Amino acid sequence: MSKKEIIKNGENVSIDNDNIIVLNNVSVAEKEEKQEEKQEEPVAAASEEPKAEIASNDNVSDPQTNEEQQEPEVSAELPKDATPEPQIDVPAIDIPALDSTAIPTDVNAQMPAPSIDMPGVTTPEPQISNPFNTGLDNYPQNNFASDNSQNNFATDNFQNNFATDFNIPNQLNNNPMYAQDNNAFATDFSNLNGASNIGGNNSVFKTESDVDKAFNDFIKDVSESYSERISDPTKALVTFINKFVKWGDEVTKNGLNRGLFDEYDRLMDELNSIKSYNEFNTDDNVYNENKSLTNFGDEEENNNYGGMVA
Amino acid sequence: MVTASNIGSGKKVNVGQSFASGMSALQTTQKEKFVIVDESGTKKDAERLSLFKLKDNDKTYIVYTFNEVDENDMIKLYVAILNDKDGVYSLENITDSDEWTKVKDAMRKIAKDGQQVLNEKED
Repeated sequence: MSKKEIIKNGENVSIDNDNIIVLNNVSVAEKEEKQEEKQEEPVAAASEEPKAEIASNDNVSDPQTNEEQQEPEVSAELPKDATPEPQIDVPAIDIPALDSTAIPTDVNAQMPAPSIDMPGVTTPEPQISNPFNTGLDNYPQNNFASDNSQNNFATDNFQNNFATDFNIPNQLNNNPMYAQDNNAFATDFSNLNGASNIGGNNSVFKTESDVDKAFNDFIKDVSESYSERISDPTKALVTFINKFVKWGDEVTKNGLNRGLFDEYDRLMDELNSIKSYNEFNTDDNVYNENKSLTNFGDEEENNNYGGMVA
Repeated sequence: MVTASNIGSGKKVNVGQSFASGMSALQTTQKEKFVIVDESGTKKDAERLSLFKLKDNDKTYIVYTFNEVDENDMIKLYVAILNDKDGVYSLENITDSDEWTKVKDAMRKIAKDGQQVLNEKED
């Protein structure tokens, strides 16, 4: 029987010489209905009133439909601006009006960014762009993950598709600071570039100039490295080849003589010096190592909590 | 319904779309929907991509997803041990690295076989 037929019949599929059995006779969704039936039975036996409730719920045994029924009620309670989350009650927190005179100079210490979308509160446009420009655009994007999309599964060229998650952890809160009076912050941000309070090496927040500088340094390193390892050796090799060709032409034209012999020795010395440089590069494995940018590093581990045993 | 210590229990891996389709191709019910409930009672809908057992350790593993796709079009999968006790399914994290290596190998083989089945279907 072919695998297709086995799958169609709902039977288990054995692969890898029966070392792996793909289970088709087990359903994780079915037990849910049985569990709910078990739960409903003792409730029905307890009193008459729950019977009426259960009878009305007889047609609703699927928890998914229960949630669907509940969702409209929950969403009706939520304000329009908020994202509907039936399972989470959005707390109503009043934000006190900020007193500009009471705002401390050390913003980091006193004013944590809020982490909850406040329903019904209009978000003021951030008037200070520099330290609170928390968009991810300021960060040089990690382009390694762009190769992941090409790493599709193919039968002829099977590749390991486990890839690391390159999502840049969004430690930054996109919610702007709530500031009633932005003038209060003006003096704090007068020396932003290189300021240690807001930016700095250890701070999450970076100024645009810090990012630009880092990027420029990176580009400079890359171009220097390219010059040193590729373009300069290539130029040297091309120069040598030209010289050697000229030497060959001389030999062809005039035959070998003492001068051409000496020039040959010089050319060989030059070639050896070029070769040793390239071998050094090879030993570095900078270009020869088959580093796939989609290589499968450590997967995220969700081991913060121990497994639950029923 | 499957209980777990928290929503998204298990090892997380990002895989390509074709890998995920290959994995689910060997299941009669592809992408079976089920509900995960954590300790606090929070429920979340999930889709089962694959359910398989390893002969080595006689453990059953479930590969599921919440259909989360990242910016590179990779699907985030969760792989956990599926325990069945007194009719209640629960998820357990894979903590042993050797075990995890075996599970990953199994997933690759399942995806490969599944892809062959899909190719046969297309033919």
